Amino acid sequence: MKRINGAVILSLFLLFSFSSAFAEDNETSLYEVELNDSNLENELLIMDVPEGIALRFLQLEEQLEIKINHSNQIIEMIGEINSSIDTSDLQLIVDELVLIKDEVSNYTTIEAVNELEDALTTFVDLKTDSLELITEFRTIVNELLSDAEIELLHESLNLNYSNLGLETQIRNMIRMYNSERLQKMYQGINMQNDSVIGQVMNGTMNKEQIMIHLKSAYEDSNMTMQQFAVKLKQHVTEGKVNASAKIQQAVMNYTNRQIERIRVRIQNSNLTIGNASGLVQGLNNKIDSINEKVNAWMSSHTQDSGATSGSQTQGNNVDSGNQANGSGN
Amino acid sequence: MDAKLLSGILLISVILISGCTTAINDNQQGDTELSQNQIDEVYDDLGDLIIDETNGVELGSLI
Repeated sequence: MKRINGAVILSLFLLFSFSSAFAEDNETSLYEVELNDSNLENELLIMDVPEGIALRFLQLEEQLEIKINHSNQIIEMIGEINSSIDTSDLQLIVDELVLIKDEVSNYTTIEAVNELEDALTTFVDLKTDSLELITEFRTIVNELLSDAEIELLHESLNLNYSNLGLETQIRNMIRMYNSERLQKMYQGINMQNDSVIGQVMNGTMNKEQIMIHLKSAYEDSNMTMQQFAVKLKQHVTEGKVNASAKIQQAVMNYTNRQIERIRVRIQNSNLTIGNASGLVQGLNNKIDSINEKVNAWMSSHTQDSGATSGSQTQGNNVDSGNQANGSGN
Repeated sequence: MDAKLLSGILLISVILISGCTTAINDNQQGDTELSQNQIDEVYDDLGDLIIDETNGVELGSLI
């Protein structure tokens, strides 16, 4: 009877532990962040190999460079539409985008990403920062201008900016990535085809041709089309599961990392931007704003749920936030 | 009485383990029987893993 009681108590204890763990996880993600980025999972899908990681950082750098060019044009055009409009908040956003672009450019080689402790989280962080700034830029422009004036901006904006050096790097990295990807797929199906890999690497085989090749490659194996597709499916499924898990991982402690990133940007701003006092003030204000958000969430959540395991999680966040705030100021 | 309870617990455990094993086996077997539509889906998904210049990073619109 004692043994049975022991088994029942052990089962209840295990159940309670699991439910507590899930409850804490849900509460943490409630507080942490909402990543409103429908493209993110697809972008992370290829980041299981160094070539895919370097490629995404290169593409992020290129996009940031384009946005910085366009936003500078927009600020100039707003001045032409109405010279009395204060565009200093927009300029601060552009300055921060420049700092992020400089950070991103540190991770655009295979050697650099190999040294990164958690490349995917770094990518998610920097991309989310960029998205937030671009959304903020759009919101401010919408407040400053009428619909007709915004339409005028759309018509006047020169979208032809390009950086040929970056475009070439991206094209080469795509070839390196695709050949690495094909090699991995071949390994999964116990095949080897150096000729195809070579053609992908030197750019004589494009995506469409690669797909045609993959659809007929089972003929060169000792597998049926069914067996071949099953093997390939495993490759795809693993990638999707990894991408999803990485997003969940990146959400954890996002705000603490965000505060830390802003503090690094405050230090870098003096080196990169000529007169950085406005930017430094803006970044410090951002840290204050994040802390206010955390504190507001904490007090409302503590009232709602009382003393639960979640309260402990929130307490940790606030401590970190306050420390960051103090040193940031 | 105690022995009956213990037997009951053991029986439930065996049923649960058996159910899980069957589910896993079914899942694995299901993988080996793909319809033509499912095969097409696999190649569609593979298309997300093979990259060209159109598959980039999106940052949204400034205005």
